[in-house]
Amino acid sequence: MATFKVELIVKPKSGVRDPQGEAVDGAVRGLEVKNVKVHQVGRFLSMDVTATSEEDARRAVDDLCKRLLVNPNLETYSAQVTKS
Amino acid sequence: MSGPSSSAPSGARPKAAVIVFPGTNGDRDMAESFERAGFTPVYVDSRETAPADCKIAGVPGGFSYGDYWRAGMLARYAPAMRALPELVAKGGLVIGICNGFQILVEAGMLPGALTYNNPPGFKHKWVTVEARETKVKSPWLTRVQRGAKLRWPMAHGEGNYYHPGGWDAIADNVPFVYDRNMNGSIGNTAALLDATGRVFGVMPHPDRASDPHIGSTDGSAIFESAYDAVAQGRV
Repeated sequence: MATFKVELIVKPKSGVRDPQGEAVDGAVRGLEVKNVKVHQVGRFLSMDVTATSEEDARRAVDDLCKRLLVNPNLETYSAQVTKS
Repeated sequence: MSGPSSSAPSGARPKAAVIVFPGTNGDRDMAESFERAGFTPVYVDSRETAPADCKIAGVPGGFSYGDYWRAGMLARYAPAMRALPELVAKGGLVIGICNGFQILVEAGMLPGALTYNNPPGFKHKWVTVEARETKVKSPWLTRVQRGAKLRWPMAHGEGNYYHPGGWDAIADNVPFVYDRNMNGSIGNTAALLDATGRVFGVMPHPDRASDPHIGSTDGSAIFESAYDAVAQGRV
């Protein structure tokens, strides 16, 4: 068994409106910053996963996303998995 | 609207469970609404389950677990919530108001998702909802006339109802719509029933419109309908 560091990003699915992203972009406009465009607001989660392989760790993360961390109606995710 | 049915034996008021999570703040509003309708409200810690003789359970508004990660997500796994599908399977009734609606959706007891208001921001104001005909006859709505326009307060930042199948996927189960766009919900959806009509989720607050001292009793019909269902042995 090995420990894998996982950094998970959950973000709005394409095609689903992102009022948080729009609100933050509006705040950036309010600062009169003209060369920045905010695209999306999402969530970040860092965790350790004990698994036999990177694939095994990824499977555990996929399962957790499916069961808890990601709302498939609205969100998508990506996970960076590295061996500690 | 009239008061509780007179068919219940005096001194034997039925119980209604009000589930309380860390961060819940609408529990007393819900309990008082149940009480006014004829129930004896029972506060149930979310780490426990409702007493076996409760045929009615309510999931109140608030910010359960601080709305961490995703509103309602953490609350759905509490023991009190895990027991609700069985209550419904036995013929019991469940209501979720505001954060309670979010929790019922997260728990899969109602379809779709509730996400950030569009336009963004927390919105709190009195709103008008219109009652619609639904395919399923809900015990929560027997005292509500189709087409009735009711004044209830809303207070939420994540009440934008979304379903990947769009309005057509839910239209038959939407008993109330806002009279205008309040939060970006498809079809101005303000509430939703499950396929049995026994699970009722609503974003604005009928529980904060059940006391004449605070401006409206338009929400009382919901709790009185549930009382009728219990008193008449339909639950």
